[in-house]
Amino acid sequence: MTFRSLLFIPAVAALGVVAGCGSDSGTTGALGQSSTTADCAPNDTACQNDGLDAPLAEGATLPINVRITAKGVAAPKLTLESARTDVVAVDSGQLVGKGAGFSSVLMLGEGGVVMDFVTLTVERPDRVELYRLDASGGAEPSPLPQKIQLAPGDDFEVSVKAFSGATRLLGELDGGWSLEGNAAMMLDSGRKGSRRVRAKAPGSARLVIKTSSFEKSLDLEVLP
Amino acid sequence: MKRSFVLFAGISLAALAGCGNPTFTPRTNAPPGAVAEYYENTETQGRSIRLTEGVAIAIECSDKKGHPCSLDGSRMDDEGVATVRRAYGALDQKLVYSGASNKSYENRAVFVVVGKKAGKTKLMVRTGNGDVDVEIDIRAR
Repeated sequence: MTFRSLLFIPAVAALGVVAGCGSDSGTTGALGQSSTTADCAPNDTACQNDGLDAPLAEGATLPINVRITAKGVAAPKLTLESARTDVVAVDSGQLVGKGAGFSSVLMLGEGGVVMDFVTLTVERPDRVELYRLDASGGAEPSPLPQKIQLAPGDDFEVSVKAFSGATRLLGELDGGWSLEGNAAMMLDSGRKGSRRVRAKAPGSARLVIKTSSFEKSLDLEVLP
Repeated sequence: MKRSFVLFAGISLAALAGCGNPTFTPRTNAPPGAVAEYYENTETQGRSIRLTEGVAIAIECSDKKGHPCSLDGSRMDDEGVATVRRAYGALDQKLVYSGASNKSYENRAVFVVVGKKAGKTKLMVRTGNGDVDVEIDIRAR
């Protein structure tokens, strides 16, 4: 190995570091002029870093933040437009998975000029899992087991996430939540797609969520 | 030697004068499992864009003189199959003239074609130096 080739290695490494600096979280638009992130809980770093790098679940809602990143350009007022509203619908800045397929979402500036676009995939979930949320709304890394034990007064927030194979799909699924049994009570957490559960008295209860295609339950045992 | 110099000068002049064809350059790609492709045959002047339904493609356009296309008045025959829109491109500016004492740069012209549903239609691109027809082929997923 010559001296010149030895110099080449750190030069390439330095270039790699420089290229890495300034990289943004979220998904860069096809034209490289925007960054789109899911509107995540503050400490849900997986959600914040992943951007839109997973399919959106059919039936789920995904609030998004779009930033125009073109150099020297103050972002104009943007309008979002879906290429196929039967795949992705746009509802007040939220994306709604309507049916499996592809759909580009255009970010339109004044006069309908395309500032950038991202192409989303919508997948039909093949299962759902329940996740405990922390105080800021971030989901724990692992899903809840079929049964958990609580003491009276314990409470937690639970959310449902959709999967297709090993991929956790994007978006918040909403459905019909119900609680069977008197040992616990269920409260509206104020966050779409989640509920708060509080243990009241010793006994058992069952939390059930029914989406359009799935039913998932969590057994609660409240100990004395 | 003298003859080859004259030939070279002639080719260079023709290139500078922009006597060629309009140039379409795709600027975006398709997601995995989808298609966003542009084809052209310079002999027949046949041009086509193939997209999976729901997918968009951005294409940079220069007219036959090498200037950015005007795009104003470009239209899609069947907007139920595909749509066309002008796009903003924060790309480097395009050198369109370089003389002894003058240089001229212009903003690049980019348009976006969006595949709406499976089918075929035709896009007319107004370059500012002649109109160009592009076959649009939208394919089901």
